[in-house]
Amino acid sequence: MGVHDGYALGKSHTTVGKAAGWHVILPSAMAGSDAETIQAVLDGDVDRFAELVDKYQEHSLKLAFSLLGNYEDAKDVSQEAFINAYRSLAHFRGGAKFATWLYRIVVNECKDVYKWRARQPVVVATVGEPEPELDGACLFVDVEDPAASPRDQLENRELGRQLSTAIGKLPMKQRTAFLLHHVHGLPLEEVASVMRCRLGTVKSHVFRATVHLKEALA
Amino acid sequence: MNLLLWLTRHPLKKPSGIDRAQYTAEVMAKIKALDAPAPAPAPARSWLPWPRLAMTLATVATGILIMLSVRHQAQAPLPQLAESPAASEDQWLEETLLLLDELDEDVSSDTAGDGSEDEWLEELELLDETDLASSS
Repeated sequence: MGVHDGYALGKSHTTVGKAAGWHVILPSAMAGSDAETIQAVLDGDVDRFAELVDKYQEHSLKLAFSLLGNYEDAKDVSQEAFINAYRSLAHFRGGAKFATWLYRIVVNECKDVYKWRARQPVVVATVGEPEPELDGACLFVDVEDPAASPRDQLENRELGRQLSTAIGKLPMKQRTAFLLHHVHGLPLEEVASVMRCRLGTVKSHVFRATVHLKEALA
Repeated sequence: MNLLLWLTRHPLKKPSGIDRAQYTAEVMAKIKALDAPAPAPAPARSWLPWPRLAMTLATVATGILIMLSVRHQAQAPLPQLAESPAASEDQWLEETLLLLDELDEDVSSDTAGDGSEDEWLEELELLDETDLASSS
């Protein structure tokens, strides 16, 4: 078992290495592999599913937020994804990573939200109101750069908003591929696994999304 | 502007206002609600001692009656089956005898023909003569 310094996530922790004269506090989710936890849940220890929720909730939330643009929907979707993952846990094949499988469920849930939104009556936004697609939210952190002038910082913030809006206007597949790869840092192969499409298709989506975003920001 | 470089320097916002422990607790509560067993069915009303005893006695009595009736039926001769063949046999014999009597009368009347006993004797004599002639 490796040492994972800096992990202080969750409410339950496991202390290891006392016998060797040192101890490191690990989140209990890291004390065993995901496969072990999943097996325990399948064997009837339902409470251990909390370890998976605790471990992946931030990733799940961020992915849903980046796809949907607001935290309320993102929270609902990510929680629903965990519940669906629990329901289907017996069908989970160990060949894929749990995270990849969970991301796939999150993406599918987000698609459902999009379909639901598409069926809602269109509300015409008046000038000054936030973008309906992303609720006017900026997806990205405003990095305070002490070396940058106030004008540059303002431009940077504005750029973040424009980029968030432009991402929100991308077609769903392009947006998903772009976000998973460039924002969430998944390798292209894993993106293909999440989206259940071929690697070449993912590359195409990412390329087209990048071109569209550059055009939007030009 | 280098878009991809900008993205590496500006990560996604972290979820704000969401308590991790509360989030996990909410998910687990929903999961446990899925797993909660259905409300137990109402317990079957337990039988009081006296009706149970009465039902048992009635069942035993019914069984004994059925067994006795079956044994009685097996031992007793079946009146219709025992008597009817004899009766029918007698009747059949009687009818047969009557028929035979009628037949005898017919046969005798046929064989008698319209000639007399003398004619019959003459015929016999003729037959004898022809037999003698052929043998000689």
